[in-house]
Amino acid sequence: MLFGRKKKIKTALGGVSFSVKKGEILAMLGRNGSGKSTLIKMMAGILRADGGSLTVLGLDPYKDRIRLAQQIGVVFGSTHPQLFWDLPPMDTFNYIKGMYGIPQSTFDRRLKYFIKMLSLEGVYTRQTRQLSLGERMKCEFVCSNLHAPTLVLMDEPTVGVDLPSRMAIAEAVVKLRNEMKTTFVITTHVVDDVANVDRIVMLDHGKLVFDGPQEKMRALFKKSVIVELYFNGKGHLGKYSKHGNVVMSREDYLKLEMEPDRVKQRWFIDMLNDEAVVDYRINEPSLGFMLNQMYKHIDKKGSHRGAEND
Amino acid sequence: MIEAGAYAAAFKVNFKNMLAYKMDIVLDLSFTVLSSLIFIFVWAAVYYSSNTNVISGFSLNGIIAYYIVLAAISEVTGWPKIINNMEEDMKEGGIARFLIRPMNYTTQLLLESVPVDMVFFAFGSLPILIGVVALGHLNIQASAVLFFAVFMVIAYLMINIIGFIIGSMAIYLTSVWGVANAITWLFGLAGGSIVPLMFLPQSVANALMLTPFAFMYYIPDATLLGLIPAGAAVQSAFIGAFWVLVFALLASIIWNKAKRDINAVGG
Amino acid sequence: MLDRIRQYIVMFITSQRYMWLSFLIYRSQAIVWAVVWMFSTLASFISISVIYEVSSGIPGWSYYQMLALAALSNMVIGIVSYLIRPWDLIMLMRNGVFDQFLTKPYNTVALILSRSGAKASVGSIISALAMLIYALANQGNMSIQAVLVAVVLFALGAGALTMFVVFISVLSYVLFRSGNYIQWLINIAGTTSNYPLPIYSVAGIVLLTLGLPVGLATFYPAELMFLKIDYQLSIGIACISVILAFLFYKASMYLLRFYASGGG
Repeated sequence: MLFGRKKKIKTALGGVSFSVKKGEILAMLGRNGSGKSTLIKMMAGILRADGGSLTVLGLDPYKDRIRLAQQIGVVFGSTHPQLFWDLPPMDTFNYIKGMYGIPQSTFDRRLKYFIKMLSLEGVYTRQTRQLSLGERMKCEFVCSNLHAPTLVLMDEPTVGVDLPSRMAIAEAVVKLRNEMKTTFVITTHVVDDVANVDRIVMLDHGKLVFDGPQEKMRALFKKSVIVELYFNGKGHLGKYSKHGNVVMSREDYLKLEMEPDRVKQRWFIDMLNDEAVVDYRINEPSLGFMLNQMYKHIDKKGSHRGAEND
Repeated sequence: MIEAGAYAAAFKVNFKNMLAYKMDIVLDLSFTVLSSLIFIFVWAAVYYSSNTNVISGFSLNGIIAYYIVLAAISEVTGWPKIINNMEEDMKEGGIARFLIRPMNYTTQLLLESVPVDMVFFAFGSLPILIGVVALGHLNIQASAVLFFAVFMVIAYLMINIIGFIIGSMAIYLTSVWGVANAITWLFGLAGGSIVPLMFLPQSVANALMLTPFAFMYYIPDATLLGLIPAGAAVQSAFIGAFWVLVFALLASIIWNKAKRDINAVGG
Repeated sequence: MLDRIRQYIVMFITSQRYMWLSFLIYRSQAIVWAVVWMFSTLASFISISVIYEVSSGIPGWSYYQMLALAALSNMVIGIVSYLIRPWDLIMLMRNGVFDQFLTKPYNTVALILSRSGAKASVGSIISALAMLIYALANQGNMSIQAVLVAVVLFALGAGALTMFVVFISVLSYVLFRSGNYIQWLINIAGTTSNYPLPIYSVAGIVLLTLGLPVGLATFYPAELMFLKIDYQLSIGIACISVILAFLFYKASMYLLRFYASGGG
């Protein structure tokens, strides 16, 4: 990854590279073992790349780890905490202040900013071990941002975290990007985390299989709509399932992927008015659906149709 | 009623699990021998500089034999492995996965620690004892071997029951390593693993012979070396059995209390 | 340069402050631990006292000289343990929590030494210091100059031994992903260095000077303190300490390339 004069980031892994603008929020998706955590750790200078070249903020992450660490923040999931378990998060915040040489007045100002942003009043002074996972992860987020890093790497930060905390962290990411121009690279399995990102990069087996904004992903699925049919009893699946690709089915429920043109046709409208159909919904494919379809497609072909490398 | 096969299967899994750390075992075995070797070097220097062949009734050969046998004993009684397992289980409520199995927790603990002790006995204690006899450092009497075996069983039971007591305390303390270390140090110091008890003033040595400490190292060691006559050995065996019972009673009281408090912690 | 040194000092003090706060959360356990560490000094004191009670002792060494040597031994083990606890370090590396160390803008070995030690070993350092003062006060006729140079020699030797423990811990992680035996190795280093190296034969001297370099911080400083060696030889010993510390440091940094993280 290069964060050079052109304010662009380039990454190389498995012979594939991509670039990210400064102040962009990038989500890195992929299944377990796809190589995304390894890439994040390489970008942080924690792991050494066996081959190829890797540059972050104009530095070789492994060789210049110390200089790079001053400019980046890293948030790991709950398995790699930096909060002192037996002490309140405030002690870890103070520890961070000492580690990065943050002046007291700057520290006080930033801490106040984060406490308010993440609603941590009354939380950060309690012993860490007494906090919920969501509260702990919000504090971990603060730890990694107190020194105002240019780039923040987040490795599956929301695994197991409750929805309100997840949303709070996602909002904080957007706010920091807007107000401080911080760049974020986030690896995740949680579809909600991707909702606010500017770009999605998908890795599979160490290779890049998709790179682009959400709209680009939606464009790949523009020939699909999702039709959900609720029946008044059993025995109707056979009649209706032939009209599209079955995504999910129960005795009295059918979820189909169909071409948009087909749902406008007369026979389809008649079908919806059929007695057996008690309710129906027609939607664009959800992000979760699209990702899942892409994984399936990757398994079949090795990489997604239309996937491009910048 | 649990089938014997279940015990055998658990034993087998634990045995395989332990063998995953072969290097640690080999080094653990070696370092126990090294500890004894250091004292042999020290006493050799002391004997060579003194103008006598006998110190406190011990010849240099006698003291070498003492420390070699000590190494054999320490392989099994040096550190109760049961503590490590219990501490791990108690923390974060991990014990739950044992309590849901159709087998008593203490039985499961034994199935975990006995394979380790067996390996340490087979590859540590036994070769050392055979070696010391083969090298002619030890004239073994049949009765001494018998009493040695009895005292080894007493020492093994005692250290493991004490380990179980300390392990049970893990439910209340975040770490019991401090207590465990303190107690093993105390047993080493007062039990004759650092300095043989006969080098201490007679009154101190006699008093220590009545305490549980001496049963961990000195009494089994001195028995095999033929330093404790049969009559005194029988008497010691009864004292040792008494201490085992006392510790077992204590362990049962503490465990019953701890068991009730497990649900309140972790999980 | 001076600014960077200041940053490292601030980093070390900051880390120590929060390590101590964490340690002292459970005061009763902290006290038990500190007492446990004192036991090793007590064990040295008792065994040396018994040896000198029943015999004329180790050739060439008086009772108080031996106590001073044992005090240095307990002190260096205490200091090394204060800075690094191998088993903990290997566990941190195995479960990937070590990643957090590497996100901080400091040298990796400096981060290890500031974050992974056993605070309770201060019990050993204090008790050993008390024994050293007791031994030196009773020995009498001490050369202040020799004692001061011995302190420097001790510090350099402690540095070499610390780097050795860092090296062996990282090596064990790379090779076995475990290292329970290292604590044994440190215990062995502690026990052997309670006594003068020559009792272990030439092989023992070489091993405990160059291999497991505990002698550099114990035997040679003690010999200098009691004027059994001259200053020229001490300079040689000091050089060996510095070279070994450097080599172990370099080797550790090289081995850290093989850190594989873990734990998801």
